[in-house]
Amino acid sequence: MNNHEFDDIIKQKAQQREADVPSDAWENITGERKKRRKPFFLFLFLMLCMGGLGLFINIKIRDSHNADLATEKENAEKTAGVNTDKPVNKKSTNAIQSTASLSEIKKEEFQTSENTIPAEINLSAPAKNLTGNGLLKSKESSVIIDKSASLKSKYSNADNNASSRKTKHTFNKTVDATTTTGEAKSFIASRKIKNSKGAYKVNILAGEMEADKNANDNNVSTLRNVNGKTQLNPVHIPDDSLLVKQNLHETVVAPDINSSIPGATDSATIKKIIEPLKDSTLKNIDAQFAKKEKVNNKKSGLKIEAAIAIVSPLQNYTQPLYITRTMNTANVLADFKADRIQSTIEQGMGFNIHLVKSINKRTEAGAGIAYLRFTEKIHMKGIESKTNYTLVQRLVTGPTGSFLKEDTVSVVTKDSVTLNGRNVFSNFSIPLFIRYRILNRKKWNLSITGGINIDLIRKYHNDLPGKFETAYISRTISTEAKSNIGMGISAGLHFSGLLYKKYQWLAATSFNYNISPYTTNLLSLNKRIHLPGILVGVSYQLKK
Amino acid sequence: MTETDIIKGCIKKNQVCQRLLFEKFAGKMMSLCQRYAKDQQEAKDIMQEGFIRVFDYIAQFKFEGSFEGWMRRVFVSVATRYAAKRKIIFSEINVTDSDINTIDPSVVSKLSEDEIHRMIRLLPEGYRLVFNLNIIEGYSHEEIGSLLGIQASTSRTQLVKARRMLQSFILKQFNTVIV
Repeated sequence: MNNHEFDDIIKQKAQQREADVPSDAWENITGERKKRRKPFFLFLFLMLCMGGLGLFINIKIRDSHNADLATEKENAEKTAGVNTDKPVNKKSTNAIQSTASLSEIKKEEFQTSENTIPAEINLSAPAKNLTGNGLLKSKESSVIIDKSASLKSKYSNADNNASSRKTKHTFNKTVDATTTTGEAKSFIASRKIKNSKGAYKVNILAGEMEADKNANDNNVSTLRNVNGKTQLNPVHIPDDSLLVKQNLHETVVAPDINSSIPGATDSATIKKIIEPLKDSTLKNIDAQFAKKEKVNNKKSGLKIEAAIAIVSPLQNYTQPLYITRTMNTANVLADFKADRIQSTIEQGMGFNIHLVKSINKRTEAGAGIAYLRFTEKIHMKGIESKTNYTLVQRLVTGPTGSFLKEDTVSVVTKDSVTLNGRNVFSNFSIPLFIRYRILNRKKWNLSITGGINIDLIRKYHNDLPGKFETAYISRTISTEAKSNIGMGISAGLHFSGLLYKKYQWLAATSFNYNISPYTTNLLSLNKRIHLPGILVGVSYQLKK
Repeated sequence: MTETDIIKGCIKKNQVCQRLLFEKFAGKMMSLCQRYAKDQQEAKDIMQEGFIRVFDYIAQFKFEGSFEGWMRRVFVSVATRYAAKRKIIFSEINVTDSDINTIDPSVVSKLSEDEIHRMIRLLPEGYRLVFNLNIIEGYSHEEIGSLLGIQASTSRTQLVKARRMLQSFILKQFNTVIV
C-alpha cells in the first residue's frame, strides 16, 4: 500500500466523521454573537454620552459665565452711578480723583493707575486639555490566510518529496489555454489577466482526475490539486473575503462539470473530460473577469457631497497678564487695563463641499472646501482711567490787576469697567480625508474618517472698538485682528445611505483637533480652537 | 429547504436558517475542530468562533463552489489561529517500525472513522497539524509554512514522520504486518 492510497483512505474517513456536538453549542454561539455586538453599541453609547457631557459642560460654563457677566455689569452700572454723582476716595476700588474747587485748580498730571491694579492672573480658562483621541476598536482580522504565495506554490511547484507524491508533474504556462500542451496525464494552463487591481492568474489544473466522492452537493465544482491529483473538490475563495488576499491564483469554476463525475482513471477518459472543458471554462473565466473588472470599475466612482456643518467649538488658551486699550476722543483720554479676560467660543455653522473618489471597495479619499463661521464672546474686566479735559477761564490777579486766563482742567476718574464683545471667526479651509467603511448594511454604511484640514484663511472680526495691546512674554503686541493660516487633524464617523437613485444622504460626526494656534487675535494667547461637530447633507454620484 | 435556501436565509441573518445550517454542519465541523484542538474545551471554542465567523462572512460566499469546502476553510483558519497562539514545537520523533510501508489497504479500510480520528489525535501536535492541513484539507506545504510560520521543508518532514507514526499506530492496533 503506497502513501497515496493510505492518505486517501485517511482523508475520506476523517472528513466523513461527524462528532457529537455539545448540547449548549448553539446557545453559546448565539450568546457570543450578542456579546460581540455589545462593544460596538457600547462604544457608540459612550461616544454619545461623551458628546452630550461635553455639550452640557460647555452650556453650563456659558450659563455661569453669562450670570457672572450680568452680575458684574450690574455692579459696574451701580458703581458708575456712584461715580457720576459724588467722587469717592482714591483708596476705594471705584476711586475718583477730582479737583475740589475751581479756585484751587491747578494742572494735574495724568495719573496712571498701574500701582493700583492687582497683578492677578486668572487661569480658570473654561476649556482645557482638549485632546480628541478618536478611539475606534479595530476590526479583528483574525482569519487571514496569506495565500499569495501559498496557493501559487500549491499549484505550480512540484513537490520534491518523491516518497509522498506519485504524480506531481506540473507545468506552468502563461499562455492561452487552447495552446496548452502537457503530459498525457497532467497539464496546467494558466492565464494572466490584468485588471485594475493587478494581475490575476488562473490555473487550470488537471492531473489524474478522479471523482470527488465526498462532494455532497450539486453545486458547481472547482478543480484543485490534492497530492498531485486534480480533484473536483470545490473550495471557494471569496473575492473580497478576509480569508484570502486577492492577488492570487484563483480556483477555476467549471460549471459544466458536476461534483458527481464518476471516477475517471485512465488518461484517455481524462482527456475526454478535459478537452471540452477548456473552451467553456476559459469563456467562463473571461466572463468572470470581465464581470470582476466591471465591479472594479464601479469601485472607482466619483461623487460630490454637500453638507451643512454645525460645530460646538472647544478651545484652550492662556489668558494674558493684562490687556490695555487707549482711546482718545475730543476731550477724553480713556485708558483701560483689563486683568481678567475671558473668552467663550459659541456654536457655529458652515458648509462643506467635497469630491470623493473610491480607492477600492471600502476606502474612499476626498478633498473639498469648507467654510465655517463661529463667534467668540469676550469678557474683560479691569479699571479704566478717564481723563476729561475742559477748557476754563480762570481769574488771575496780577500786578496790573485781575484778568481771566484760559486754562485746561483735567478730571481723572477711575472706574471698574467690564467690556463685552462678540467677535467673529471665519475659516475657509480645505479638508483632505480618507474614509474606510467598517460596516456595510443594506440601508446604510458606516465609515471611519480621518484626515487633515488646512485653514487657508482664518479671518477674525473684532467687535470691540479701540486698539488693544497685550503683554506677551517681554513685549507688548497689538491685538489687532489679522488673518492667518493653520491646520488641524480630523477624525470621525460617517454614515451614509441611499436616498434616491444617484443621491445619498450623509450624516457625520467629526472632531477637528487644531494643531496650529490661532494668532488672528491676541486677546487670549496660544488659542487653539477644536471643532467637534456634525455634518448633514447629500451626495450625488457623478461617475460610477 | 435546500442548502442554497439555508445559505440565502443566513445571508439575510435569518435565525432559523442559521440554526439549520448549524445543525447540518455542526457534527462535521466539530470533528474538524477536535482534530486541531489540544482538548475538548478548545475544540468547543474553535467551533463557536468558526460558526460566528461563518455567519458574519457568509455574504461573501458566491455560490461558486461547495459551501462545505468554504466553511472548512473558515474553520481551518480559526483553528490554525488557535494553534499559532500555542507555541508548537515541531520536533521530530523517531518511529521504530520499519515495515510500515507494507500495511494492507484493507486494514486501514477496516478502521472506523472514530478510530482513525482517535489515532490522528494521538499524534504529537506539530505532526497532527501538518497532517491535518496537508492530507485532510489539501493545503500545500508552502501554504502550511505560511500559516504556521515554519519552513515548507519542515512541513514536509513533519508530514513524513506523521504518516509513519500514524501507520505505526494502525499496525499496533491490528498487530498485523502483511508482506
